[in-house]
Amino acid sequence: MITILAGLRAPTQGRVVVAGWDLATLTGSQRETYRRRMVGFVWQDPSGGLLPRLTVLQNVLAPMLAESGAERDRLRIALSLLESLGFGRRAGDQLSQLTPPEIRRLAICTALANRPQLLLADDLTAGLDSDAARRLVSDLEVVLAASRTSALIVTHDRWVRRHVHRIVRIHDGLALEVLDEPPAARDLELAL
Amino acid sequence: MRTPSASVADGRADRVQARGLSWTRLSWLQSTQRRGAAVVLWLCLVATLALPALPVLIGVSSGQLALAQTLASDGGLAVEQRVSDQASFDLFERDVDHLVTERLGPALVSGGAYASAGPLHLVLSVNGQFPSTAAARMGMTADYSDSLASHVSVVAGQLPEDGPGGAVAAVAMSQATADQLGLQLSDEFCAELSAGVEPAWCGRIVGLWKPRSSDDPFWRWSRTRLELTLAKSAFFDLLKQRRSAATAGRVYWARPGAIGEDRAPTVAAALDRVSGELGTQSRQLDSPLPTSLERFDAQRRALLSTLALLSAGLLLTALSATVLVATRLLDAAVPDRAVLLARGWPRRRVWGMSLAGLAGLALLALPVGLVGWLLLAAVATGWPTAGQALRASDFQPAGTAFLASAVGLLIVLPWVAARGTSPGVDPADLTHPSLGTSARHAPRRREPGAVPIPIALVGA
Repeated sequence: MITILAGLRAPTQGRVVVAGWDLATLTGSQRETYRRRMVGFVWQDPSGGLLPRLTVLQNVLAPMLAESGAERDRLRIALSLLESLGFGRRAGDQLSQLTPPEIRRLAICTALANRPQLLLADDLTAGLDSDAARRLVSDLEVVLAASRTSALIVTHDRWVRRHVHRIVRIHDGLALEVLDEPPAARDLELAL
Repeated sequence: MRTPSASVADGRADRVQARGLSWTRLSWLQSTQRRGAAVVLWLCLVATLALPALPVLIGVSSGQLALAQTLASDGGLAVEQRVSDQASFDLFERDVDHLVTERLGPALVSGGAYASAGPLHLVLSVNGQFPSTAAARMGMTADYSDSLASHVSVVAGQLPEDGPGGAVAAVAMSQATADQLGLQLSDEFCAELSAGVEPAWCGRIVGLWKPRSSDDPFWRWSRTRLELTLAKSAFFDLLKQRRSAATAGRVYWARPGAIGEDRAPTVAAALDRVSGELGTQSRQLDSPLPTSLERFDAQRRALLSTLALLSAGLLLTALSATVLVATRLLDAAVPDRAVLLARGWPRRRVWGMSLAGLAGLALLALPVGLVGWLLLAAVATGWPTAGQALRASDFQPAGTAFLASAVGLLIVLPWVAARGTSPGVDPADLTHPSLGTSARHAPRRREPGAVPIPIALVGA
């Protein structure tokens, strides 16, 4: 489901509408635009979405190069994101110098580089110790609030529910339960 | 809790500017991520640019040498006609010069005129004595050549000068002829003008000479035997006395710089036409030059055709290698392309970036290829001059081998390319659940665009 929401796969049946984008009927070009402007995706293995030969900063800049724009603006946005997720002085580091939690943080920066409306994170806290996971979610919450970005997080960690506004419990591909917790989710329409 | 702050970032923006990323830089990083393959590709590109020129350059250079050799051995011609006196000789000279200059322009250069009469029957007496040598009774020719002085060295005395002569004609002869006849400088001798007729013509040896150089084409193309060499007026006085005609001739030599390999057939055809025109005027053109030029042209065409095949074989081989390595480099960048596509890069922009990286390598190879081309040109120019001009048969084995290898590569290439071509650029591979979401280990699936592009390149 999350890969469909990310625009990486097209639904084979049913309807998926995200913020007015009907993902079942998008053309290839529209799907590219959707991936570029609407969603940012954090893979379960976050290194899968990174370019290993680039530095931390360059990895965040790479998604922005899909469209034209001033280099200075791109740099400002990238550095701001990195700063907010703890890479203040490590923008020039290589990926090989990062720890797994840092890799995950960088994956989030990269996903947010194009300022999407929706962040999708697949098993966001997998493989992290509880401290690192809690710090990550806490920092992410701040970043999302500041950038007014919605997020859909797939997780097995029940404590994450304290940081979200709506919970959809899924078992064997079926939504068993939808719990709204105040404040209500922002203007994101998600229809399954 | 930290908050994204533009002001903080602004402060660092200038500091890290150099470590930023542009489309061009990303493209370059992608194309050089496998440095070994990038270097090999670069070398292949240089070879593709420079190598195919080698056979062609060798062909051109060899052609020049072959033409020079042809002209050196067969590059002269003589036009001859029977003349009865000096006036007809002068007319013959003017007419032939006019015709040859008009029809052949600068391709030929004049080698002088001559006239030859004989045989004269020596010798009734030498200085009043009967010579003892057996050769003394040989028939000999009396000759005139307007360019003798420039082809001989005077050993003794001097060459006869034109002007009113006396009863005894001034004669020069080669030292070899004089030795053969037992004559010396200042000896006088008389000869029968016709067999059995009272001797009516006498000469005195005023000069002895020897050829300046045995390589001088003058000796090959002047049909005179230059046995008894007279001044012009003395020669035609003798002719008048003898009441017979002489053979007049005009010699021309081909000028290599003016003919050139490309003009060889044109000059050969012009010579044929001149020969035909001279034939209608009772004049005769004697030269192997037209035939030699036609033969040269045929050999040159055969050589150039073979070298063109060799060149094509080299080009295809180098190009095939280039395409194979380029395909490998494109393959290596498949995971990166998948990431960029997943981030919403337009497919065209992703491919444009990959190909631009390869184009950057090609651009860098261009000046080196040009330098290589010039070096090869220098080598090729010097090569054939060291030996014999090359023939088509010299290159047939190499040409066949290269062509066969190129064809073989063309057959194998699609298979190798298809086998090597890697995971398709599909962003969905990045999320494959069983593979830890890494496209770097994704199942190998044919990239639809990667195979046709190299094949199309080779085809082109």
